[in-house]
Amino acid sequence: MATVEVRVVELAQRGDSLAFESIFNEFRGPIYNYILRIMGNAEDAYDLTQDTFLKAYRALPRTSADLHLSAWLYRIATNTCRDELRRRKIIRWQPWDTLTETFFSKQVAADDPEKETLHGELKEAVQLVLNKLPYKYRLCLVLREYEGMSCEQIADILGTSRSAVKSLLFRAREEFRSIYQGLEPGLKTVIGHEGTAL
Amino acid sequence: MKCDRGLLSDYRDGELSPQRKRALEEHLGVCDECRKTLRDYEGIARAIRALPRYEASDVLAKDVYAGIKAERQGITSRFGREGLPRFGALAAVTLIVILAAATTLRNAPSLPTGLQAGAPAPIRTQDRDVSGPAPIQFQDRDVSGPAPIRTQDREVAGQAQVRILDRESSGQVAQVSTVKEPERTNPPVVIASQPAPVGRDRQVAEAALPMAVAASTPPSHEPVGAGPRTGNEVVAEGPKAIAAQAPAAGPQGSPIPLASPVALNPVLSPDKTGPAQAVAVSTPEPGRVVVQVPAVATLESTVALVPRTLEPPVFTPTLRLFSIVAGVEITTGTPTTATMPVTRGLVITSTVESAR
Repeated sequence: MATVEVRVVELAQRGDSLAFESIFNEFRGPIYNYILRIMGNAEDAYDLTQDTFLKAYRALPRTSADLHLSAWLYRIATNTCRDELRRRKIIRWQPWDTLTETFFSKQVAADDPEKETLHGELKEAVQLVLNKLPYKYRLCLVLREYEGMSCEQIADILGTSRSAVKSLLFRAREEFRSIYQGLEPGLKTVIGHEGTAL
Repeated sequence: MKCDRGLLSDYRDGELSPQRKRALEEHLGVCDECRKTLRDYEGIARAIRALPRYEASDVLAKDVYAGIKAERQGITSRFGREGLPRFGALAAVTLIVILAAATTLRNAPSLPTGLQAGAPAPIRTQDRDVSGPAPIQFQDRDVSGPAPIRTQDREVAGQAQVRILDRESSGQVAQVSTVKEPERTNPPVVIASQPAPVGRDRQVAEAALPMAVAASTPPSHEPVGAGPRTGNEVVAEGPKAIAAQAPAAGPQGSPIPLASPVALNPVLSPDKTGPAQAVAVSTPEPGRVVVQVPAVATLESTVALVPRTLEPPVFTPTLRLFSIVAGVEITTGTPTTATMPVTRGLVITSTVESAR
């Protein structure tokens, strides 16, 4: 960790509001986008990002001097998402109709030249598949592929072992592939048109 | 090697040993099915990586600040977008109250604290008179953000002073010095309306209000910050010079306890020992406030003084006009904010960045 970051964390731990503001400004974007990918919608991302930083603010004075700030914040965000999903009891459930209707209702013909539309629908489909994944699979895939973290970093955030993360990632990819391919033929047409995935 | 999709996943994550990696790559050279699986995994990675990233809006930032402010004020309800109007309104009301207080008190014959106020005096900055409340200064933008005070020296031992300098004009606005007193048995946690505690090596932070001596200040009033200095003097850089006239007090040189308790802003000490300390303030003479702080004080502290009738500033206070740096060590407890009934509509708070 950079010296400056250590110093900022140290000040924030002592209740320095400017230091906390600095931390917030550095991480608000990454944490917001991470939560957005986990929860799948902007409204939840907005609310849970607030919750995450409020929890961080409360907890900072009780953290140790060797706090790894980034992993710690992602852990709080992860737990915040988990708690919210548990509260709603939808961790493993997403209506399949939502997935298919959202995608296919807007699907364009295979030879449609509007690439932007295709791009948008592809991304929407990817997010919908993520939403369909079991929560832990989703976490691992987002942390690995979207955040670019290593298995070790993910293990640190999730509080599990590196080998467990590797196993989760494998199963997540398999599940993602299975769901994605279940969208055929429409999705495959779009993806084939774009040549970007699967 | 047999087909093993688990290995392909590990390969994708760079989790294979060089030996296994080499063996898998040889297998990939001859197995169409595994090559296709690996392409699928890479496609998943590309698809997820291509998901858009958004800026977290400033509205979100304001909501977070509002939530933290509510937290510090003991409001436990969930904050969110629905909470913004409430907190926004609160902040607006607070600002109005502050400005109104500044205007009203400036013309008031006496202060509600019972202290005798001097003749109405203009609010002054270091280098000019202003006709209304002192301008609100923020560090780098309109929302909030403390102007950090950076001490240049670190140690305070024996006779020491802290001067807070106006950022623009380099005028002193406060100082800290060590005062020797004959005896003390308990830490000087002081409650208002009681005499100031006595104690050995008690540190006293003196803050001059205003920075520019105002009309009610006697000509003999010692120039702010012109007291005895030592080689341990610490020079701090404070927020832009903002000042209001402090009320006239009793006989000059006789500290007058204020009518309300004054608490320190919570600044945890590095060693985290001892209880949180409160301080008392007094006004030994017009335009000067003395903050009495415990002997355990260090420069790692912030003293925040806020008019009692106003909302105390919390996280990223809206108003950050004046600061008193005192060697006070707060070690435990929930963040609190000092309150002080003598300043005229000014919120006084800041953050000290210093180290031993």
